[in-house]
Amino acid sequence: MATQITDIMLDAEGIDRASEAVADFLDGTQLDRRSQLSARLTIEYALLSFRDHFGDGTKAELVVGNRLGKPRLMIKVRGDRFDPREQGNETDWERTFMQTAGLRPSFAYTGGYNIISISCPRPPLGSTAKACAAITCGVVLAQAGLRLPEATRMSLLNGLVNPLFDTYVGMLAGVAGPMVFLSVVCGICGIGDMAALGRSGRALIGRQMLTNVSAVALAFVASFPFFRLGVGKVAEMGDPISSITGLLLDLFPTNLFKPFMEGNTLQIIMLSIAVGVAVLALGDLTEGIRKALNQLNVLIQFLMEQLCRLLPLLIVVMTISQTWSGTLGALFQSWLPILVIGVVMVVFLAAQLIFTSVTCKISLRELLITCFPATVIACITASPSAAFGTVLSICKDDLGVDDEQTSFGVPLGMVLCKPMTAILLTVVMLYSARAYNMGGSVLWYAQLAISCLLYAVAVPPVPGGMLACYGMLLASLGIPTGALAVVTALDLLLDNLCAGGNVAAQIMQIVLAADSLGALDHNARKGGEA
Amino acid sequence: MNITTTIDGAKAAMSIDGKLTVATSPELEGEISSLPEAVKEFDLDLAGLDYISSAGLRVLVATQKLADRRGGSMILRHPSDEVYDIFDMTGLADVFTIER
Repeated sequence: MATQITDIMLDAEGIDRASEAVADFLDGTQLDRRSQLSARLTIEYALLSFRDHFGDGTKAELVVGNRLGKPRLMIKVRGDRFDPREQGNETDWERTFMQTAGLRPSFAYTGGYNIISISCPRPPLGSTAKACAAITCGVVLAQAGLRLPEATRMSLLNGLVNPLFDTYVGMLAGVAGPMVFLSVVCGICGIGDMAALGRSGRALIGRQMLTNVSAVALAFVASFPFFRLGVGKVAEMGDPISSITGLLLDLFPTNLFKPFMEGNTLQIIMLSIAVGVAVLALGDLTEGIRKALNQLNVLIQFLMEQLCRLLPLLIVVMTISQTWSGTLGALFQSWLPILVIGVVMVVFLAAQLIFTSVTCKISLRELLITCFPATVIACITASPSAAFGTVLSICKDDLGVDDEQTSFGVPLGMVLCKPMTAILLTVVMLYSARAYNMGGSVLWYAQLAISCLLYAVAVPPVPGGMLACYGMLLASLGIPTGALAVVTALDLLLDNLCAGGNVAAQIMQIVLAADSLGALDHNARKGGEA
Repeated sequence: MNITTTIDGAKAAMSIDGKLTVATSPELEGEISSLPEAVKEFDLDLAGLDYISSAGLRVLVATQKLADRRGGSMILRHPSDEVYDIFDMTGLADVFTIER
């Protein structure tokens, strides 16, 4: 924006006009609301001080513009030297006003003019811009690294790149457990009463599980070419009832600390639901605990936000790792399952988006644009946890979902709503069975469907989370573990797409659940019609 | 800006709608100074207040001091998020008694 200079009179109306002009200018920047308010108040305060000193009707100049990408505001008043920051007669709060308001104006007296300048913080880069910059940087570095001798490259990969990646992912996973626990507990407590919890919980959990079931069903239909009903070698499996019972019972923790130690997100969710419901049911008896939990929740989310500032670095490291380890190349041999998975994911997501758009009366374009940053972050990092903060912000600020639904629904969705993972697991298992010339009975296919559904939910929302589950899933279905090689390769490519698609689906389900409960404020949506 | 005032003995309940700008702040200041000297409890409903300027903050600070001098109190009720942010960033959230 070009610099604008406005002459103003230092009277009540003139100062108000200057204040409005500053507000209009800052509204066009990407500064957060508090920074905008700080700047506006500081300008008002300075103008009032000049008026008090020089008198009503004195002329001043207001200069607004950008310098090196930073919004800049300036007031110029002709007269004797007077620094509004050094007043002698004001109250304690007025003396500290210019410091506590958050901006530090500078003062200069030049050529007979008193000049107060405020340089506002540079508007932050959007998440997508950061992610794209990180990918570009990663690609450039990875390509440059390919020119190094292989020994050097492998040494760098195993000694620096992979350890960096593992450490960061470990830190994310370490914070994710407590974050999910506290967020769900506080979300449940915030609901207010047991009747409301039952209503919200049923709506959210029901929708998210139904989404997963629909995804598995669609994956089965699309994978029809892979079916070998009773043909070829029949899959040998353990007792189906024991396998499924084991899966279901494993959801419940037997130790308060073990779920956190092992990063078992599903058990953490079960624990948090139990604790949240207990705190809610006990009401005033647990008032102190409720306050402490809320404060811990704020703390842990702050920690996660700080960790997420390092996401661009993780993206660079991942891009280099996948390029140097040749993972991408091996996947092109498995084009058919990749094609099926890709088509099913796109069709499923498109159907979700259209359904949400029609049901909640939000334009498709707005939904796509709003979900994009979180989807990109999750896609690039292969970690819905990395997009947690962005999803919270999107649901609350951009889509108008109320606080309780957001606090409760986002962490719950991160664990429960995984239609893309369900699609990936289903197609990969069916393809693996076909690759080994295996078929099965109707019961076997039913067990495959239920297992994929449960494992999709059980997978921790961090990159590589599924790798730990594949071995168990293959064994439970009687598919030779030699299939792990292809399964792993497919997972490494498609894990990223899964994470991104899951995050988009989560957002849709939270919005749909909020709409069904009347907890969707269309007026609060940015860009929505008032 | 609209100000609605109700006096009940030593308590004055005021409802402020609109914006408390540099131009409109003197109106609130005048309304408060015209209250009987017996009034020492100031109950200000800010639910309808869209914005408060530095001048408006000065008036509230002066009112708080007046209440303190008279041995009474001032409470600000239901400020919007924006108005509360202004109190918070200027340090006045710790000075005023605010009911959200």
